[in-house]
Amino acid sequence: MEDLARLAVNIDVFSYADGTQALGNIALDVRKGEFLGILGSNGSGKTTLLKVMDGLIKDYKGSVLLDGSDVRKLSPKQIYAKVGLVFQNPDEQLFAPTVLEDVSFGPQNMGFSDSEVRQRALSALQQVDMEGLAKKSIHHLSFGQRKRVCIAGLLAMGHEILLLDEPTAGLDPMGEYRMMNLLMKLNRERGVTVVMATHSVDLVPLFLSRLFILSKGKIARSGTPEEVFTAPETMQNVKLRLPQMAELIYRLKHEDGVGFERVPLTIGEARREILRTLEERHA
Amino acid sequence: MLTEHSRIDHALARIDARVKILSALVILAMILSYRGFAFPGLVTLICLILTFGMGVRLRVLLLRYSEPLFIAAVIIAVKLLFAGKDPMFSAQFMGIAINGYRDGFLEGLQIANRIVSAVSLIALLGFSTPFAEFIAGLSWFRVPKGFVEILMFAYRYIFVLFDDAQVIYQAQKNRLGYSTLRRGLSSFGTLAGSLTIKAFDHSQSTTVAMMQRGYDGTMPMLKHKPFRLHEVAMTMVLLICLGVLWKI
Repeated sequence: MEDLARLAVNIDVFSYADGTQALGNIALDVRKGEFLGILGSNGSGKTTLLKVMDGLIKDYKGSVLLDGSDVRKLSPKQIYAKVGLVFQNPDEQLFAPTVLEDVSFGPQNMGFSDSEVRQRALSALQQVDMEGLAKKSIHHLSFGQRKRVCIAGLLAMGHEILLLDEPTAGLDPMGEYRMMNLLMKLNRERGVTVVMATHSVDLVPLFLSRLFILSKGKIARSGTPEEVFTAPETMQNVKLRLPQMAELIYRLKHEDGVGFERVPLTIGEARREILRTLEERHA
Repeated sequence: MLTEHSRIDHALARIDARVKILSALVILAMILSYRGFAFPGLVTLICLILTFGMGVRLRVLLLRYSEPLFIAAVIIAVKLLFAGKDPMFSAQFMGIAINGYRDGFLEGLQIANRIVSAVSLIALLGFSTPFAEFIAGLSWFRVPKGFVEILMFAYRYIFVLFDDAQVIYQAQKNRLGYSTLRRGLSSFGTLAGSLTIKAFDHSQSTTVAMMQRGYDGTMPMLKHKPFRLHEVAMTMVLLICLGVLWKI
């Protein structure tokens, strides 16, 4: 069951109205309960790919299957009962005057009773640690809080797959960390399948189980963070870089001849690797 | 968004918005048509007790009252000095004779009393009624649906577009966009054009975001629920009591 593909994307080609090719030869699958990343520089096609996966773009050559059904043949209600896209800019998503009213919008449209709507909205706000701000005006919230309300709006509907466009963009380092922890909690504790587009390479190895590197609308590389970040040349070719810790160890290994066995991706891994190397030298 | 400052779990906040709006309109008519001090004063007192009972802080309330109180003070001063026949005092200021009139002063006080009373009533309505419920109530009063929906979006997006406008204005100002009148006019035109395009972009994205959450052209919060009999009955009793006091 864990390996069942919830979303299977096979795009031969998708071009914008002006003829610019945005996506080509894309083949990726999203499995149940995964925390998957789409990594790419600006203009690489990440947002377009998310819109394709969400059924917002349909005039492509190829197919996108949601639980085995072609999204082009599904009604918006059928798609949006399972998949929800969180935009990069929360102001494009939040429209109601207060937090509670905005989060309640989805459940209200689903036809739940008032008490059920309220219970769902408050539960969703609790999941994103925003329950204390339910009656606050949206415009009084910080950018990070608004992003959390966007996520709560989809969680209140019981979405099983969350697509997030640059969820950490515009957040301070602590905000980035909190957002990623929230997504990880939703993924691990609530079983929500998470697909996020990002260019924050330092966050990826800490949280994501699998990632796809997108460049000029094509998948340049895919695999686990360990698999993807072993080739710095590929990262440079797609206008990205290694995580800072990996970059440091990689340079120490190749330019200064320090005998590291592997290139770590996180501070914890790097610490262990450095201590091991030092112990070997002392011995 | 006055409800931000009050307790949303208060009994008054749970009453149907339509009942509250209708009651407020009836009481407002009574205040405006009453000749005297007692009735508006009583309404002010009741409204203030209920407002504080809802957990509204004095500072917030004073902030809301500051403008109407200023207007009331100006009216009292104007009526005192320029209306009436019964002299109350006379003074000289820099060689100018200043006369105050008792009947003018009383008339001014009466108007000020009505203003404060009406503002107290509307503030109580605001503190006890969430915005969405308020506009849903308006739609029941046959306010056109399109207008009500625009009102709802306007409340949210006026702030978003205002922020956008500020950013564009600062960017223009930093590059001397307002250094001369001619340049300023030209920059302002560009700002207005950019805002229109941004508003259009926002509207498209918001529509998509709303569709994702089941929007099919009707706003669920504008659907009306049946009236609760006990609320209507209690309101009727209150209005009758106030009507009797108004008549006395």
